Amino acid sequence: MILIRTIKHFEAFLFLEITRKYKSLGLIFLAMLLSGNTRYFFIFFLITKLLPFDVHKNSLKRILWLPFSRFETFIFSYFFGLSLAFFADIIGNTFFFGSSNVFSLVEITVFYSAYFGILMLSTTKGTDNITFPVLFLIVDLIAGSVGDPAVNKYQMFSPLYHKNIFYSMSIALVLLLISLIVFVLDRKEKW
Amino acid sequence: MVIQGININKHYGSTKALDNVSFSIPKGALTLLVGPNGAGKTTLLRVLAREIFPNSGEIKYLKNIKASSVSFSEENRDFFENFTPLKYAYLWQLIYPLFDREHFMEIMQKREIPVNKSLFQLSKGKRTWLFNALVICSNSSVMLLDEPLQNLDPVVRADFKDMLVKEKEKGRSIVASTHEITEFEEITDNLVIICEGHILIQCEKEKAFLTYRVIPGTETDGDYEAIGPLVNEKLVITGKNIGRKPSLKEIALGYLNGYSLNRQS
Repeated sequence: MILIRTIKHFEAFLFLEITRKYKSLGLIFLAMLLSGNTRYFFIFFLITKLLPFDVHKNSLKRILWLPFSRFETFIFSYFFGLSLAFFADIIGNTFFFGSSNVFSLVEITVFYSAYFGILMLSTTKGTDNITFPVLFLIVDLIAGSVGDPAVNKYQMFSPLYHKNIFYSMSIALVLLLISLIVFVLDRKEKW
Repeated sequence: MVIQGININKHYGSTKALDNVSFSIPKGALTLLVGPNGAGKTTLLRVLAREIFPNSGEIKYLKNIKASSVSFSEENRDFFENFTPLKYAYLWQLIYPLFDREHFMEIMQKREIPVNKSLFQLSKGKRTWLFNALVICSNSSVMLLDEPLQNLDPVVRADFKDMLVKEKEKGRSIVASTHEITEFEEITDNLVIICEGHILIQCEKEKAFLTYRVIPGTETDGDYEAIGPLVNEKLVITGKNIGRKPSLKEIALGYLNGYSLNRQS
């Protein structure tokens, strides 16, 4: 029963997201398809259009007036975006950049999870869905490019460079979990 | 009771929207939530809809009341971008298992609401109707309606009130927040008066009509407890058959005026 209800709710959430945001999501998906190595940049923009967008624009309340819980909303939005990123990687790599592989999907999961967490934390705590996350992205980019890549330890943990998948995945999942807890327990609702 | 709230507190920053509020929502009845603007009515509905959570206190739902047993139509009729009435019906069908699509289409047709037009193109009255219709057709056990008569013409209002009576008879519980007390007087079962986050009184309508009387404002002697002033008259609690029977609106006004006087003194 719970499984059927969850599937129905997920279907409803997908319908809601696609109907509302099909233009922006369609453009970003196309950009992810054709972008090869710069795909992460567009994955970042994909996240800005998901749940963080609704939290920032205060349109989350419209979703919560329906019988969606905060937990469901977070999880559904996370998996919806991750699936889009996966599809773009698989289709894009298969047709335009040679074959896709599982490792690139794991790398996408690291980046996507970490930045989904950062954007959710940023918007739940009242800042916008662009400024702080972009700053974090720039710091991530610079910190990972400093010095000799062979000795730069930051690259091991970085969501962007993810030189060590285990370490960077751990960081990403911790960020995601913290943002989930903060979002679900958030009591600073707007009028 | 379908829902019971115990000592609910909700604040937005330093503003107390609900201050130690306790209430109960009976099954198969219409509970009218009355109070001035900013009293906490919408906050209470948002808490009941589980959109926001109280800072403290407890809300007990009847065992079989799940999230999809509660439907909510909010005051501003905020709607999703790119949505038409038909898309709304599809969305509600997915999340409310008992949603009656045929009934929804009948209502849309009867009220001449185009189902394929964007909600931007609908008048405010038609948007109110759309959301009222969604809540009615959801067949949820609890219906939460924030200003459900807003922007509706008199004929449509009468039609909607008839629908609410039918839904009540099916055993559905209705909580309606409104300023239009007179419109609801006939079909209301319970009255909740709320002001500045406090519930001043919760009572059954029939009991209230037996308890309260309106007497001349100049009357000073007698066996009664004064609640609050009305124009040239006052609302009192008494067991005696004095003065006249009040309307629901007068009970609400008496309490609100009395509260405001007490606060000033």
